[in-house]
Amino acid sequence: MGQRKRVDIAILCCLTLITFAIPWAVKSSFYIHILIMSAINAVLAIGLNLCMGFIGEKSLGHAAFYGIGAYTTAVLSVHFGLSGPLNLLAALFVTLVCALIIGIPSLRLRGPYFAIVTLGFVLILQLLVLNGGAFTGGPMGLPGIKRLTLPNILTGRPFTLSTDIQYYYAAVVCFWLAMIVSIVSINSRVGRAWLAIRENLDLAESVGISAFRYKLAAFLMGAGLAGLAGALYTHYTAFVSPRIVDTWINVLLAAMVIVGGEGTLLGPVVGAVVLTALPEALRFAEGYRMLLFGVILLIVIMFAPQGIVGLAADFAKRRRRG
Amino acid sequence: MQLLLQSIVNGFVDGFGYVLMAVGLTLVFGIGRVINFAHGELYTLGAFLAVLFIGHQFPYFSTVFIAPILVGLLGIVIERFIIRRVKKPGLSIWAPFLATLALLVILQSLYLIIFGPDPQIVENPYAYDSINMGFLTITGQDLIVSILFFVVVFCLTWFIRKTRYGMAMRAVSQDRDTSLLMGIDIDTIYTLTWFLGVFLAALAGVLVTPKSTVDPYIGRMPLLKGLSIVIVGGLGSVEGAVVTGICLGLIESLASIYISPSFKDGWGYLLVILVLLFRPRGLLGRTVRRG
Repeated sequence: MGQRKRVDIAILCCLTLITFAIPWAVKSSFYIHILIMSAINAVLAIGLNLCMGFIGEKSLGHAAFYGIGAYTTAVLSVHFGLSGPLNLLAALFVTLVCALIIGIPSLRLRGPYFAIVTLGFVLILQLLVLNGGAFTGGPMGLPGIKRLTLPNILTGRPFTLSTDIQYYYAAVVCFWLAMIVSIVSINSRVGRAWLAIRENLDLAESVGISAFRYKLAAFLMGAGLAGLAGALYTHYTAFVSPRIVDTWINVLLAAMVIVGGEGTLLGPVVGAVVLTALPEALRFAEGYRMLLFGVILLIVIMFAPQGIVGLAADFAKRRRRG
Repeated sequence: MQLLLQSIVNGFVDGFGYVLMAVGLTLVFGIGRVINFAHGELYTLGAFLAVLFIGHQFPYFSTVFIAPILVGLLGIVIERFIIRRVKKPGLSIWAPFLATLALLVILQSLYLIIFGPDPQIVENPYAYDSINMGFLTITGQDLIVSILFFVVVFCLTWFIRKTRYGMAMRAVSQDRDTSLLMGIDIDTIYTLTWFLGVFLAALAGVLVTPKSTVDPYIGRMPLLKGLSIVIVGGLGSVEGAVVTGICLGLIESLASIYISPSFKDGWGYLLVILVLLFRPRGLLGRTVRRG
């Protein structure tokens, strides 16, 4: 265990350096865009992994919280002219309230029931957004969202994030926030309770763990992170459309967690980066792009169903044994 | 009054289409333990084959049978070469689910490459005939859907209840390991189940799409509605799927006239959420064993 922990810390240190140093190495704005999207997707995948990997309940409704965060920010910005940190807090608050409303009934269900019910909430949200008229912009979406303005602690003057590099750093801060939430909770009493629930729910309850409360905690943490990611995304693209709550995004998020390796710390990060970059890397194939994407996904599932990180861990274990 | 009757008839016909989707899904889940997310794409494939066959002067009635059988054969290929490989013990029970997700992407992009993104029409000689009963109009297509629906559901119920294979299917859905010990060839049962489930999806595609158009993305809504019906009816319960599917068709049809047409596709999931709050096993569901 000691050696594993040291390896983990080494990986995390490298990751910190890489995430903060990338803008010096990468100058192309296209790559920066992909990196920002990777970071935002990683935040979503980390949040989803808390529920999927550590509690073992597969939520297919994670994009709902992303969408709620994004639309809260968009509505506040377009209709009320807000663009400051209040937007982020409001997105977080509204997402958490919605997560409570969705989580309390649906977390009583298990397995496929939970998966499909959470998928249903996304569908309902999408219909609400599509039929929201001028308030949500309907099928056309809401354009003209203000850029994020943060108070500068040093000078006291407000400071607007305008360049891609600034949004990259904002996304990285958000990413590390998600990582810290994930690391701290996994290594605490809460994380141990989650694992107990995942391995055997009935046994966990019989030793006095309130499974429902811990499940709700994971669900809320994941939802809050997704809400923040949604708010950041909206400020970054200055536009939000109902595509953000498409059922396809949920499916892609679940794929990120599983392809990366569910129930591992780095799995969702690896999955998010790979599945965000892959469709872009396949652009050379033009019309055959999504076909190739599907085939690659299928091959990974068929030959490495424990995910990329799971595969790497297996490989390392086998080498250590000799 | 006329509006009410007409919307009830329309609701029934819509419901029949949903039932065909949901029964296929519930069979594959109840027996194969896989939520098939590619189910909607197989529905689409049925519709595209119908466009192709009828375009080549095939009679409609032979198309209705040949297209679903061909898609059913594809279902067998999927089960044998993909699902069976990812269903190894020790792997996550979600691996087959993710494999069907990858299939969804693959099939959808294949349709886009082969058939193009433009909506196409299933030419159907009976679509324009209608029976007018003064206060009520039933189109020829609705009549065909209704008759075939009853024939198919009757045959399926007979097959599951009375034949040896049907009995074996029920046994496997109850307890896989004991069935194996009783000498049931489980692999054959899985293959058969996938054939039947996929056949029904494609049949729904062939029957429902003459009322609208066919493009590579039509499979999504039938899949989502099928899933909601399967959940409300109880996962793995064929009777539950039949009852719930028809109810959903009726609710949608009536609600879109008397409440709001724009929320039509949301009623299914609203129903799911309400039912599961009060009866977490579905309306007619039995307790499903975990794992």
